[in-house]
Amino acid sequence: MHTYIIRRILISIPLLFGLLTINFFLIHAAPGDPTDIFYNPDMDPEARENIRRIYGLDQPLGVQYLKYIQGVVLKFEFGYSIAKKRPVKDEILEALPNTIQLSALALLLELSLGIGIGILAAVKQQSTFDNATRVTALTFYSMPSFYLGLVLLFLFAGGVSATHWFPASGMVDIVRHESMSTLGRLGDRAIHIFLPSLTLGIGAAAGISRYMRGELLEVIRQDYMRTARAKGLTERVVVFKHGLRNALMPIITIMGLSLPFLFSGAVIVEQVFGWPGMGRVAVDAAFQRDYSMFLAVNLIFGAMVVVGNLVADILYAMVDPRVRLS
Amino acid sequence: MTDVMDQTSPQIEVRNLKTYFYTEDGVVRAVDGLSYRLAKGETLALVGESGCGKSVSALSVMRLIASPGKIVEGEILLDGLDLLQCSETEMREVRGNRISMIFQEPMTSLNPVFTIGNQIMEAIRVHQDVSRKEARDRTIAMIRRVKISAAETRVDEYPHQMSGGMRQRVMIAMALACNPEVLIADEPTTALDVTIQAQIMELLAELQSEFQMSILLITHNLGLVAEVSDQVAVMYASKVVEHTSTAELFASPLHPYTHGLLTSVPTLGMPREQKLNVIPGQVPNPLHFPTGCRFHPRCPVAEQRCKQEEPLLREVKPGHWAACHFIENGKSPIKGADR
Repeated sequence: MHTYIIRRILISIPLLFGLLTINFFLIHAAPGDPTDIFYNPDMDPEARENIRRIYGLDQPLGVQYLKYIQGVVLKFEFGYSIAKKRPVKDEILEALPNTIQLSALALLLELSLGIGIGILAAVKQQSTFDNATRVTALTFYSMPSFYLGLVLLFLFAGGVSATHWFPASGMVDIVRHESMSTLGRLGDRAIHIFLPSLTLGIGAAAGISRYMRGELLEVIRQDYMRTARAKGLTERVVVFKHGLRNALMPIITIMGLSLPFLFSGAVIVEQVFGWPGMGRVAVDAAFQRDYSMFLAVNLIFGAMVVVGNLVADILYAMVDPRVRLS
Repeated sequence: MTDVMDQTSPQIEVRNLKTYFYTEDGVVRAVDGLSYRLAKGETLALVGESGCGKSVSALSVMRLIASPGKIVEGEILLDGLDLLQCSETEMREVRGNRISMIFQEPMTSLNPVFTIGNQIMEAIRVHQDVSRKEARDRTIAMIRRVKISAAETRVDEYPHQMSGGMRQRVMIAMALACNPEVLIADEPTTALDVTIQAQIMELLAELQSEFQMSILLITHNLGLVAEVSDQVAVMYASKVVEHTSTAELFASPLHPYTHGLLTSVPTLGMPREQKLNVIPGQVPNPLHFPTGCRFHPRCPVAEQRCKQEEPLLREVKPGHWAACHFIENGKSPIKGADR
């Protein structure tokens, strides 16, 4: 198992390297460059060239690429953000934890809601609950997250005064947060993270609930479930012990694949809720042609895909004894 | 039906059992007025073609019929206790404890994600108040008893690490873990190859005398019936058409269907030119059974009466029950049926 994990991580290094290379040339091929933000019509062309020289943008592309890669590989340096006027690493270390927080909570919602509802719908097949959750799941699944976010903002963050329960943006109450007690701060964070994580998690939960229902219904028909009943086990043990573990296996794969989607979904949701995470950083970097920032953000998204797949494979091997990682 | 064998009280007696499936196409009468008796320590073979209701009748005894199926009528007496009157909780006490079941498909009947030890132990711990350690010891003893070598290590193996024959042994170990009074074996060897079949049947026979249990053997394999069973009940179209001792059935089959079944089995030493008997027509669709005797469209001796009047299962000679209008003085309506 350990050698398998180590090998998988080693394999992912050239993968991420390739990603970095392709992205490097892609973003440089896009019109404009990072110095555009300093540009104004009265500017001396020579001054502009000076700025370009300062950031090394006047050098041939190949040289720039080699320098960049050298920095990443040898010093684990990801360059300097021209737009933010600080090292890329600092900016990311500030934004990434916020996004991880949001995504982790969304993942928790996705799994608990999705699996819970899926099980209930399967066990009570064709019931009102089953039919109601089917329609609800379809609705949320097909709703774009930015739209759902706006609806939730309207309903619970000011649009309807009777249900104005949540703040509309930010991670904390900027004015009062510092003066709050520890418990108060925790509560402040909780009400701020609730709507964005719900927006992010509920669509995925809707998908998971349908998969879970389908898988469990499939498993309930299996011969070994009949064997379990014939032993005299209660229906609860039959479903939750014998059924669930088998039904969860495909869910693990889906979850692993959904991890990067959750992360990139956060980009949009963060915009809607003014969440200071990777979403803002990513969008700004793309629009401002902030080369180093853009590359680092994409590297992180790429790493998410790799990690998501690896986690799914490891979990799968833990649940299914027929799979041996070697 | 009254007594088949009044000399011994039956371990399990099924009376007029009806299990119907309420499908969108109509009511499927999978078991429709089934009656049989199984004496203590004996083996009763329930034989019939595919789809005649054998397996459904077995699952009915366990009360494991799932929607849209329903047991609509009848009595299932386990040592006098009517299982159809039991609550679900009482029924769970019976399943795996007093009546156990092994299934046709050993490859899919074990849960792939739990060790075989875990699955056998589960059967012990649900019915008996024993410690984990003791349950494990008993599990290992059970595995040894079904003649799996290296029981101490195999207890921690998963089903996929075992062959079909081994898995069926595990199923048997699981079924017998609580020393049941009745074992229902639903085509236990159908999915196995012939040499393994013989081993499994031999093992079952050994364990039967060791555990003093009754076996309800469900099969379509007449060779198996002749070898291991004491009594035979022949099923056709959801009902028993003939019920007697194995020796009697093979010596003088009285029902035309039984006769057809027996003569459609090839025997060694049979001349090559001799054609194998075939029962013409097909098993009737349980959605629309024929009127009168359900066998009449395929029966060589059927007359007008058979289309209108359903024959009852009656004692046509001592200890021999059959459902046909034309059995008189214990003689089959088919010439030369008594062998």
